[in-house]
Amino acid sequence: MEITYGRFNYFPYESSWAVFVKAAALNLVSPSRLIASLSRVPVARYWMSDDLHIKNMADALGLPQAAVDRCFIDSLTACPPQNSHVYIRHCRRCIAAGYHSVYFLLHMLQRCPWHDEPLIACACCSRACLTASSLRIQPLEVGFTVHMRCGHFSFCSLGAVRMNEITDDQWQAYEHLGLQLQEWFQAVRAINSPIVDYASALYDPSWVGGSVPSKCEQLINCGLHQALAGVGPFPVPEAITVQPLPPQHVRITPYRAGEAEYKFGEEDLFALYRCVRRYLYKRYIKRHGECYRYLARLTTQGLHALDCQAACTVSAAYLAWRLALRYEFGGETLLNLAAPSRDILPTTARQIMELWIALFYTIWAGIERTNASRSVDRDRYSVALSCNAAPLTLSSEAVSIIGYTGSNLLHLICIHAAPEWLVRQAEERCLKRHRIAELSNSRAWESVQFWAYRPNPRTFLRFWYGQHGKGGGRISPVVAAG
Amino acid sequence: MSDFLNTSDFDRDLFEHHPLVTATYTLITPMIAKAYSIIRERVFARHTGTFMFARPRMGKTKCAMTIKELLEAEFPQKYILYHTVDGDRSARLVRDLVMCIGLVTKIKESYSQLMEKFLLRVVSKLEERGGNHFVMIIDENQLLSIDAYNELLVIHNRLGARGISMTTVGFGQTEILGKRQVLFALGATNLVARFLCEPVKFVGCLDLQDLTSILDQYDSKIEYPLDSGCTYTQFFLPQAFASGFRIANYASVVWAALINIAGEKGPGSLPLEHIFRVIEHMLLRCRHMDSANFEISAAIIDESIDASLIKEFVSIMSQSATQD
Repeated sequence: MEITYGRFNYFPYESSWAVFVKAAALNLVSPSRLIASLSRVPVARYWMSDDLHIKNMADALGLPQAAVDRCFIDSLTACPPQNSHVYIRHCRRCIAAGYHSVYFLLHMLQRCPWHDEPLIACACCSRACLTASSLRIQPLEVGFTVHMRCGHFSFCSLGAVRMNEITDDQWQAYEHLGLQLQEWFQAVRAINSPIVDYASALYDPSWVGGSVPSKCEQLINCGLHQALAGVGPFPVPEAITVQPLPPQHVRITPYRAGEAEYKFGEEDLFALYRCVRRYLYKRYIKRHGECYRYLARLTTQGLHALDCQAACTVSAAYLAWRLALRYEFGGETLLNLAAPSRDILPTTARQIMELWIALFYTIWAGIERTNASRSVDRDRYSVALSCNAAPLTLSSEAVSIIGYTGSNLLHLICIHAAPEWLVRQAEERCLKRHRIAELSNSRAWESVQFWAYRPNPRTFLRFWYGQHGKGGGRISPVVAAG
Repeated sequence: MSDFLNTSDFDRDLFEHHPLVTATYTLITPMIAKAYSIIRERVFARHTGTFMFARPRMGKTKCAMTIKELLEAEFPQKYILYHTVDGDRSARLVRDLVMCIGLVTKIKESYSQLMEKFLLRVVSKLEERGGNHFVMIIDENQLLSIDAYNELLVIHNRLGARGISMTTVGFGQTEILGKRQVLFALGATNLVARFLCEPVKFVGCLDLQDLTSILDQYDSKIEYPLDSGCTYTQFFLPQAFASGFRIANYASVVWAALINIAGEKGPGSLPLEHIFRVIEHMLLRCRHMDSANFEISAAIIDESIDASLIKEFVSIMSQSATQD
C-alpha cells in the first residue's frame, strides 16, 4: 500500500494524529480508513505504535521508520493500557503553522514548550481519527476541499501540497527541543517507577483544563515530583505545572509473630478509640484548644460556614475525623475502622490505631492542600465522606501499601504528609487570625442561616473563601474524610 | 576474483538465486541504448508524447522498465511512472493508475476523486523532488481505448494547469499504428498530436556487432553476486574463464546459426528474448563441462537454439504475416 504524503510534510516529533490527518487529506480518504488499513488489532488506538504496523506505515508514507516511531506517544513514555481515548490539544501558534506535537498528547504538559501558549483541547479534532465523517471531503467544480469544522485543519487539493508554514529555524527548534524532551522522558522511564510512568503518560478525557483538581491531577503531581527529584528539572519548566508537595512521612506497621489478633465484638473498641483520641488531642489539639472549642460549639449549619483564610486546619481535621469515625452508615457499627480497602480489615489493635491516626493525617493534609490551592474559581470546598457505604477507608491523601492473607491485614505502610509540616502550616494560619470568630465566614454564615440551605449529613465541614462570588454550576473540591 | 569460486563445494543456494537462473537480470543492450538515446532527448526537451513500436518478443517491456530506471537516475527531479495497460473494456485508466501505484482507496470512489488522488500523488512526488516534469511510461499502449486517451488528456491538462509538464512515452506493438489511423479517422487529431505523433521503431538484434556486444556483457559487465567482480561467464565456467575462455568469441558462430533460422526474412525477425534464452541455455548447459581447455561445440549451440524454441516462434510469426 502507498500513501501520498511527501517527506516535506514530516516534522520532528509531530504527532500520529497530525500525520494521519494530513495523509488522509492528501489521499482523499478518512483518517479512520487509513488507520484501519495499517491496524494490527480490530480497533486501533492511533496514538499507540503497538496497535499499528509501523514498518508498513513507514514504507507507505516513504519515511524512515525511526521518524514514524517518534510520532507515537508510547515510544516516549509508558502508557496505561486501558486508555481508549485521547484529547487533542493545540497550541494556537503551532496549529496555525500546521504543526501538532506528539508531546501535546501528554497530559502533564499544560503549555506549549516552544511558544509557552496554553494547550487548548478541541473536541472536533479529538474525533477526527475516530469517525469516518469527522474530516469533511467536499468536491469543488475542479478538485476537492478537506477540512474540519473547528477550523484547525483545512486543505484544498488545488493549492499547495505543503501543509505548513514552518521556516527552517522553526524546524530546527522543533527538532532540538523535541530531542531534549525525549531524553528527559527516557531518563524518567529509566527510573522504572510505576507511579512516575503512569503520571507522565496519563490521559484523562474527563479532565480538560477544568477548575477542579481531579484525582488524576493529584497523581500526576505526585509522579512529577518524583520524576523531577530523580531526573532533574524539566527542559521547559513553564510547560508543566507542579503544585508544591508537602514533605512525606512513612509509617510502617509490620506484623509481629505472636501478636494477638483483635477480636471484634469481644474487646472494647471504644477504649482504643479513646486512647487514640486522647493522644491526638494532647499532641496537636491542646495548643489549638480555643479553636477546637469554638468549632465544637457550632451547629451543623455553622460548620458549613467556615472561612478558608482563617481556618484552623488541625482543629477542623480533628473534628472531621471524630465525625467520620462515629458516622453511622446504617449498620450496627458504632465506630468505623479506616480500612485500607473495602475487603481487608485490620488484624491487630495496633493496626486499628495506626489506621485511625493515618486517617487523621490524611484529612488534615487534604484540608491544608485544598486551602493552599484555593482561587477565585475554587472559592469553596467541603470535607465529606467520599462514599456513603461502609467501611470507611483511607482517603486519597495517603498511599497505603499492604500485605494480607484473605481478609487479614498483615503488613501496613502508610505514606502521608509529615505531621511537623502540617503543624507549622496550622500554627502560621492561626497566628495570623485576630479573633476566634473569624473562623466563620460572615457572608457564608448569612447564606447558610437565612437561605434554604440543607446540609448534607455526609458533609462535615464547609469552607468558603472571601466573598465567594462564584457563579452556579461549577463543582467545588471535596476533601475526603475517608 | 571472489572467494566462493575457489571453493570446491558447489553452492547450490547461490546458483539457484543467480539472476540468470531466475531470469531477473537486465542488460543494457545496444537496442536499449539506442532507444534510450532517443527517449532521453525527447524527455529532456519535454515533448508531450512519443511512442516506440515493435513486433512481439522484441524486448519492449524490458526496454521500458530499463528506460524508467535510466531516466530516474539521469533526471532525479522528474517523476517517472511505469504503467502497463489493462486491455479489458471495463478498465478505466485512472482507476488502473491509482491501483498500479497502490494508493489507499475506498470501496466505491468516484472518477473525479480518483483523478484528484492521482494528480495529488504526482504533485506531491514532484514537490518532494523539487521538479515540475512528470514522465509516464505506458507499456502495451496499443490497448489504450479512446476513453483512456481522453483521461490521459485530462491528466495532461490538469497537471499543466498546476505548472507541471507531462511527457507520455508509449511502448506498443505494431497495432498502435492502426489505432493511430483510427484516431485520425474519428477526428481525434488532438490525441494523435499529443501522444502519437512521434513514432520510433524499436529494432531487435540486427547484426553480428549487436550480438557481440550482448555476449561481451556476460563476459565483462554483469556480475553476481553484485559488485563481487565475478561475471556471469566466470560464475558458470570459472576454470575455462581463468584460461581465457570468453563467450563473446563465439558470436560469429551463434550469429550464423541464427541468421540461418531467420532466412530471407532477415535478422529483424529474430526475437530478442529468444536470443537471450540461447545464451542462457549455453551457459547453464556447459556448467558441468567446465575445464581449463573448454570450448563450446557446434552441437551445444544447436541444442541451445533448439531449446530456445526460436525456430517455432519465427515460423509462427511468418505464418501470421502470410495470413495478414
